[in-house]
Amino acid sequence: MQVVGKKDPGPGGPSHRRGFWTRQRANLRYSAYLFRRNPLSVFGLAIVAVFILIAILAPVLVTTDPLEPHSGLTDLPPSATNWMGTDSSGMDIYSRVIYASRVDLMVAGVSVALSLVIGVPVGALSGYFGGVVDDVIMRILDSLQAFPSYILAMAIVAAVGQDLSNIIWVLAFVSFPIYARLIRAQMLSVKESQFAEAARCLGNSPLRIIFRHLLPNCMGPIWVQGSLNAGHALLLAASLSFIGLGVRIPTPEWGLMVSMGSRNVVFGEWWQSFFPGVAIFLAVLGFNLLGDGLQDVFDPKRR
Amino acid sequence: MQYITKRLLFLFPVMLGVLVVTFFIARILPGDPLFLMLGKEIDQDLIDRTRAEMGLDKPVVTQFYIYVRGVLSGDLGMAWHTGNPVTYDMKFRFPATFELTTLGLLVSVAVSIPFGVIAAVRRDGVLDHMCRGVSLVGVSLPSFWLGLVLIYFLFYKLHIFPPPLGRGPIGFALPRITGLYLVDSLLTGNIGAFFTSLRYITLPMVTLALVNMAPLTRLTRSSMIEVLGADYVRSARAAGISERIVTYRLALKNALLAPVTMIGLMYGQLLAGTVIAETIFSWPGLGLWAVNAAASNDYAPIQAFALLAAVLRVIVFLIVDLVYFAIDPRIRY
Repeated sequence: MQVVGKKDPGPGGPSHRRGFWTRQRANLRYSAYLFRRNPLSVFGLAIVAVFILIAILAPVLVTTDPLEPHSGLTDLPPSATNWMGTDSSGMDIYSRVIYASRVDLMVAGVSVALSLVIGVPVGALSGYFGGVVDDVIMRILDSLQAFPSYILAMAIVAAVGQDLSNIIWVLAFVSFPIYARLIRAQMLSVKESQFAEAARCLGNSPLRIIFRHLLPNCMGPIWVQGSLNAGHALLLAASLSFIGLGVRIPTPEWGLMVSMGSRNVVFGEWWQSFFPGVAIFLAVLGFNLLGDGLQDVFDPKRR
Repeated sequence: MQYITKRLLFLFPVMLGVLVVTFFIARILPGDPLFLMLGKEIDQDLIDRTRAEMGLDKPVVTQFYIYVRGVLSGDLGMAWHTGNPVTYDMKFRFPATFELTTLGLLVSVAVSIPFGVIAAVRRDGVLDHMCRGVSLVGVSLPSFWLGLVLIYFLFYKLHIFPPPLGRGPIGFALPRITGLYLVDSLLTGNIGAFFTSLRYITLPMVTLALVNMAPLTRLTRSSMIEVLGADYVRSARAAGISERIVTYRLALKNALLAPVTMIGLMYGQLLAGTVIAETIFSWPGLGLWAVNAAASNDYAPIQAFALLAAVLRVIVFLIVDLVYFAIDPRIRY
């Protein structure tokens, strides 16, 4: 990698004369420049950062225990004490929205990470080896992708039961084919390149070639897709809870909160569903804008 | 012709794969499915008998064979939560879902395509910026939340539309011809029923349509911009053909290829969207049926619903591919 890598001048121009870390820094600066050119990407990054901060600081930010029902204070509209009102069991919506960011961000983040862990090796092996391996893997992916991901997730969650770790695994499972396909396509072009040839000539084992030499050159589109998919995973998880196939009451989770409040919307009690819905919208918007920004960095055609 | 044969042959492994997936999802149920069906306090004799009856004592391959034979002969098991065979329920409820999804798709196409085209033609104009902003917001909005906002304003505040109570109180007033209320009421000349069902279907339909509008508008716009920059459009302009004809007759035809594909893909996805729309509006279609089944641990309907969704999607993809093949002479495999 080092020997071959030095011949590549990289986006920093003649920076290859300098050390490895200097080059990395130059690359990073260039990427940051490409990212910053679009104010919307910066906005997206800021939203995601704020949500992560909220999730970390949740215990400090809340006004009351998000799980404590107050029997005398049910269905109250937003006021000075209950900033976003209360729900039908008298729990404070604001505190619950804040705490729900932990559950929702974790579900989105962990499920995307897991689907990368499954999808990337599968796609890499499929693309590198080709032949029968590729055929079998692709047919399996075809069959999984024949299902709309939401309906497949519904069916599996209904079968395996709906605790949090199951939901995360299911979300990872329904979206890993996307990554496998992306990596496979990248792999097909990268494996024909000269540095792959050189690595083969030096007698590296196929696994070492795949994971050490080729994969690092395939990951660009994966980060873009990962960010876009975090938003998608969040929406999926929230939609599952909305139809009662997600985490269980009274866990603070945005989709579940919208669902709990939905029966009262016809009576004009809008706040129970409105605020958690806004939280979902903002978080998903953040991830989508971030993904768009990363695309500016990784896709040379958009520069 | 060779391409079409190849494409049709390609259908078999996917369909087989889909059947394997639905079969195995049902098998990963934690614990013995018989306990779910029969309850825990039962004697061993009954368990053995039911197990033999359902073929659960046979090897997996045989069981899969039995399952596939059942699917092909239209036997998808029983929906315990309604007490009907799964196929009966599906046939009965399909029209409600079909009516909702088809209208939803038509509305989103009717709105998105013109807006996308105009945004592309007047690039960087006011409408273009508006379209981009709205579609950016649109892809991030949770549809179930949007539906509730519509209910709050248009039902609770303004009383323009009826409450979210499904298809309205006209089921009994109509003879069942196609099961599509809008069509049946017109066929029987019942104008009152037509407008009532139109009022009831509007909000769920809009909820369903809004989700698809954002990506479709975006795609139409970018596709149109790409075509407007093509060499043949420049040549046409240079030849002095009026801008109107260049845009709407020469460019539009090619620009619509990508959106047409996407519409096909969306129609394949719509069954997923209706699950949510039907849940919010108590719409008595397949989605709500599957959700109710999930709530009462009734697995056969969910399995059948997933199977139907996948089969519909595979068929729609096939049609899209064939249409593409027919209308785009550049594709020759």
